[in-house]
Order: sequence, then C-alpha cells, then structure tokens
Amino acid sequence: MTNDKKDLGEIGRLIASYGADAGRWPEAERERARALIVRNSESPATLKEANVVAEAVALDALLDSLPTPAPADAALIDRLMDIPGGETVVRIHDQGTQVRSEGLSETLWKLIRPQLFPQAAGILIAGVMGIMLGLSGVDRPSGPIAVFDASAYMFGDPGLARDLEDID
Amino acid sequence: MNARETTIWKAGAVATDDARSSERDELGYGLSAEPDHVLAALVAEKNAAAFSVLVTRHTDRHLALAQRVMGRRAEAEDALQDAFSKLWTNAGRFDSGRAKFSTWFYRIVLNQCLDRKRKKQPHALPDGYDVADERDGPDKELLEGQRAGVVRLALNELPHRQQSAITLCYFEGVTNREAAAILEINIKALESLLSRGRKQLAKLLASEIKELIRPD
Repeated sequence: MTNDKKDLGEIGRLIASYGADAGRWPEAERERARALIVRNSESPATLKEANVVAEAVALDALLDSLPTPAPADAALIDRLMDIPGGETVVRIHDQGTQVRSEGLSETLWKLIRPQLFPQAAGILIAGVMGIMLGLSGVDRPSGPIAVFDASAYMFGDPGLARDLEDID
Repeated sequence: MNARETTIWKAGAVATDDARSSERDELGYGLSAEPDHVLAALVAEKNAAAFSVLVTRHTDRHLALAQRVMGRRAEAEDALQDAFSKLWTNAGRFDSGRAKFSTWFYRIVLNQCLDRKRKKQPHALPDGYDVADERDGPDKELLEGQRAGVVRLALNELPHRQQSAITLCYFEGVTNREAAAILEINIKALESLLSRGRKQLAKLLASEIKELIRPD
C-alpha cells in the first residue's frame, strides 16, 4: 500500500467515525490528520472519496439541525432534590398523578394485599360458619348410617334426614 | 389533570420555590466547590447537601443526553430521576480510582434510558416529530422543524449502542476515550459503532442528504 493510500485510509476512518469536521476528531489524532490532509492535497481525489466527504458534511449538517434540549425546569429540580427525603417516589409521567413519598411498609402492603384478600375472606367465612354450627346445638344423627345433613339445619329442609328415617 | 400541570406534593408540606432554593443554598454551603468524587463519597454517607450539589451540577447535561436517547422529554426526565435515585442508593459503589464520576454517572443515566427503551413500545415518535402547523404555507422554519423531526426519528431507529455512541461523541462532546469507558468497550469498538451508526443514518436520511449535496 502506498503512503498516500494509507493516509487517505486514515482520514477516511476519522470521517466515517467522527464526521467531516476535524474539530470533532480525537484531539490526539487531529494534528496528524490535518498534516496528512495537507500532504495529500495535491493528490487527485477519486470521485468516490469526494462523495464520501460531501455525504459526511451533509450528515453533519442534518445532525446539527437538531435543537439543543432545554435545561431542566424548577419542577424537575424539585423532584430530584426530594430523592433523599422519599423512600419511594411515584413518577409523575408514569402515573399521571401526584408525586409523593411512600414508605416501605406501604409499598409491601400494596404488593401483598391483592394476593391475601380472597384467601383471608374465605378463611373468615368458613370460620364463622363453623362457629355457628358448633353453637347451634344440633345433635349429630346416630344410627346405622350416621350422616349429618347440614341443609336440614341451614334451610329447614328435612331432606336427607327424613329420607333416612324412611329407610329405617 | 395534565401531568405537566401536576404539582409536587410531598408529605403534605408545600414550600414555595424561593424558600426551597434558599434552603438548598444553606444545605450546599461549603460543598459547592468540592470535586465530584468528594461529593459522591459524602452521598455514600447519605449526605443530602452533597447530593443536592451533584443534582445542581449534573442535571442539565445528563437531561440533554437522556432526551437525545429517549426522544421524549417526559421519559427523559423519568430516566434521569431513576438515575439520581440510583446515585443516592448506590453512591458507595463509585470508585474514584477506576473512573471519573462523570463517566460513572453517564453510564448510569445511559443504562436507565436503554432499560426504559427496551421496555417501552417500539417506534414511539419522538417529541417534535410531525407537529401540526397551522400557518398557511411551508416556510423555512417549518421545513427546518420537519427536517429535525426526521433526523430525530432516524436517530431513534438506530440500534441502542450505535445511538448511544453517536449521542455521546457527537452531541455531548465527550472524548472518544471517555465514551469508550462509558460504554465499557475499547476505542476501536467505539469507532466501529460510530461508523456503522453514521452509515445507517446516511441510509435512513438518504433523500435529505441528496437534497443538501445537490448542486444548485
């Protein structure tokens, strides 16, 4: 490979990575690259190389057309400054609601509440029914077929108890 | 209630902006001249005043990075909030012997942004893209606005690592050495990301480029 080609390859690498503006090239390589450009200014650039540079210049111009993002407003600064005070911060944009602090216990309760509630309700209902039946004083049937028919007590239906008597 | 109109509410205490900022000035008194790594060490000890100095010092720069990566301002603000929360809880992990504070914090902000981008729905249009304009005819300002929207969309289409590399090196003016450290790669790999990213951008913006280099 001739020196010229090597030099052009080096410059091409910088343009492809950092763009056509030498001011954006790595400082350590900038001066050397400028010297390479001066050294190669006499050599005839191919149409392809000229196009690569023109395309890089155009792409730089397009990237430069993007406006600089606005600085943070007071509300954002307040949210950030509040981080040490709040254990958990509900994000304003995710929730669409107010920002507020939330304790760890509250967060844990929120997580387990949906799972616990149906089970707790079931256990409570079963417990109440058990106590009611226990206190009712209903005698357990005795006899050859000992069957306790809860419906007879709960709904006043002689049902199975009567049927059993008929069998006897 | 519009999210933007929503005001901060915290533990029922509402303070005026003036009162809060003077409170912060008092908190940060004596620390504002300290270098980042000293402040980070104090934050690791749960020093809120040191944290407030770091917020004041780094918010705008990192918000710009987040907005360029996320596209949308609201998402950028949320990502930045997550990053500062991580700083508050994990400042003890910062090792000033291994990296500059800015490198370490850039990495946190970038990771928060990329995590959010991976989770969010693909191809959400960035702020400012295709904004309705009620003026009668196209003029220079409108065309420039549309062009910026197209460029923003093209940047958003890039693979995340390529977009991050271009954002850091081109827009944030971070040196190639620091950008490589932020992305945890070597300089050769960074240059590869940059050149592939620019090549892809040139492809996505082919018609705009052609228009710009067309001889009049």
